[in-house]
Amino acid sequence: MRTSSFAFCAWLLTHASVSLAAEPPPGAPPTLEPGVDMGSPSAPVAPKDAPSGTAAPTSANVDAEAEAKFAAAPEPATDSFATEEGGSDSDTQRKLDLYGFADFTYQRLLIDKDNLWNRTYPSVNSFAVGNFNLYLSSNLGDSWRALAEVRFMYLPNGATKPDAAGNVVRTDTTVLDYTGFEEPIRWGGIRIERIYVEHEFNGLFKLQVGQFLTPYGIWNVDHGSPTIIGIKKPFVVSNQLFPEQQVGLQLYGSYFVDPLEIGYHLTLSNGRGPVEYQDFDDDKAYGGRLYVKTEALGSLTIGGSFYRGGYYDRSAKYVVKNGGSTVDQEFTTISKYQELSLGADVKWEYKSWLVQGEAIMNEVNFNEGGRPRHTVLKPPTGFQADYRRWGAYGLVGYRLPFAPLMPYVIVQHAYSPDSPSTPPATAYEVGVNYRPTAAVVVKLEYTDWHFSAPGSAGFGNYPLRILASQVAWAF
Amino acid sequence: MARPTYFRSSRRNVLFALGLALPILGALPRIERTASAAERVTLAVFVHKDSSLQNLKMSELRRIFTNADDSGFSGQRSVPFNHTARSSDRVGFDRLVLRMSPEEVSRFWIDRKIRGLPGPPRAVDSLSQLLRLVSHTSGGVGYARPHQVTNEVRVIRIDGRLPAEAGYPLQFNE
Repeated sequence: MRTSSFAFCAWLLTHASVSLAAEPPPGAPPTLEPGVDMGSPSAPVAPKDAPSGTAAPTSANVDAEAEAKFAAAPEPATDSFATEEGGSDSDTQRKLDLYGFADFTYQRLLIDKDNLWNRTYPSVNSFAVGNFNLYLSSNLGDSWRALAEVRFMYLPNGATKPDAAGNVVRTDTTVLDYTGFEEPIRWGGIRIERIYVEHEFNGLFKLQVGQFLTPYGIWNVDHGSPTIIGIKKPFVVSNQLFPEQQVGLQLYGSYFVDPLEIGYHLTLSNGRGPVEYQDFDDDKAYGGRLYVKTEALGSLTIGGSFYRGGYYDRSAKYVVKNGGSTVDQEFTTISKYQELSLGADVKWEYKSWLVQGEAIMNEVNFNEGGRPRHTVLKPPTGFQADYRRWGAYGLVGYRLPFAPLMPYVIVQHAYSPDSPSTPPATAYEVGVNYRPTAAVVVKLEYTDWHFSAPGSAGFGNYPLRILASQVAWAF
Repeated sequence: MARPTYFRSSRRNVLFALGLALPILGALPRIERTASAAERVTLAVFVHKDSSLQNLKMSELRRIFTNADDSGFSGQRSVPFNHTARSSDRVGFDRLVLRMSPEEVSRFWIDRKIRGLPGPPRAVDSLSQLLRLVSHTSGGVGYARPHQVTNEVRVIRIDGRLPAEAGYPLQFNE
């Protein structure tokens, strides 16, 4: 009785698990577990179209020999990226692929103690875990794919913001942990970097809906600290002349005409705004990118991007109307503008050389009544003027032939009239990017900033030299 | 001023060692060439039997095995199946077709996944499974040594040549 119950339960569980497993889409290849032999193939014979000189198997043990050869292959590398090779579109099993990256940074300012930057530059002389990004990817079958990337952060704990009186107010997230003896702990935040579902109609049309990284240039899409060469984003990228992410639709595709790949991205989104999931004025932003890539001489990609959209921020207040019978909301515009961003990029990998660069421009025109007040600490205060900010960077790196080491040089320039305290700046960076294994990158970087004006807060009067080191890893 | 004796003798030793080492070092490549010439490996690329594909350029093969989507309007995408990482045929294939070492291949796929792009082709650790997968997948593409290929699949030309023809590009020294 007991045995039969056990057997029944086992049968039930087996069948339940089968029914829970995702059905492969029609026309999909059989899903086979690696290492499971489906039985010997039919007696091997020379392929019909094989050349006459191709030796046809002459005995049945050829297959066994071949299998033995496969089995004798050395174990693959132990990193999840190298061995987890079932995540392609060819694999139709609906499984969740978890991976990500993280980094640890230490930076030091090589300046005098009385230098202003010692007190204003973030995370000075400190160890810091900067990024801890987790990817969740799944092939949903039938040309559907989903990807989510979230970043776990210590923030908002420790984030600072000046108040109207000039006091720097620090956010403190300390709470008492009820699971223990109410010892103080600090909570952090989660930032959604991107989350979308994608359907591939064909090679020319793939549609993403959700939140995606804005497809412009190189750095914004390379994105992860193990992938990018330097430690810090160039200022022109971190200053978001294009929005870093957008919520909406992205259509993209490419076509290969040997030796050229021509690709495009088109986006329609809420655009830049104070809230990711709300477009206050229903003014959709649109943008795109066009690139040409060839592998005729190394790997050369040349691209151009644009973005046009509006920004609208407002405050709201409940008011009583119609003699007290209705409660309504009244809005006051905080800021409203139209913007245009243009970008050009080039990336060339030739043998051990890497050359890449981006030039980006962003122009903002405020609407009438949408001009905000300057948030400056010292007079003259006033309303924000229309502005055009721009910047560029160039990177040259060379991966040494005898070690996985890439010395690199970056030169960048940024002009940001929207922020009067940020003077026009040029930086010269030298560094090394050492990749002892494919999944681990160690970087050392020295940056020397030069300012061509003092800026409204006088930052430009002080030299800024930064020595930074970072360990970044993919998992 | 005369140099100390130990200095002169150590210099002699260094010269002697160099004199001994150079011919050995010079001979090494020749030894390697001699040994490897006997183990010339050819890889045949095969597809689903009913595939219309007859020939692939090396550049097209590279794009297939880097999961580049060249399906165009048709949407008929090639589905590559690979050997396991670091097996000798995989390493040879990657060097010839992708022009990458195993480390570079790992870097390539890590960087690609962090960019949010699909991962590498499915790697199969048994030959019979590889043949079976390609034979059951329209658009399936695989590779193996010519004598391992069965009539379940069909060998195609690479750069206009079949594996036994002179100038066939998928050959390497094991």
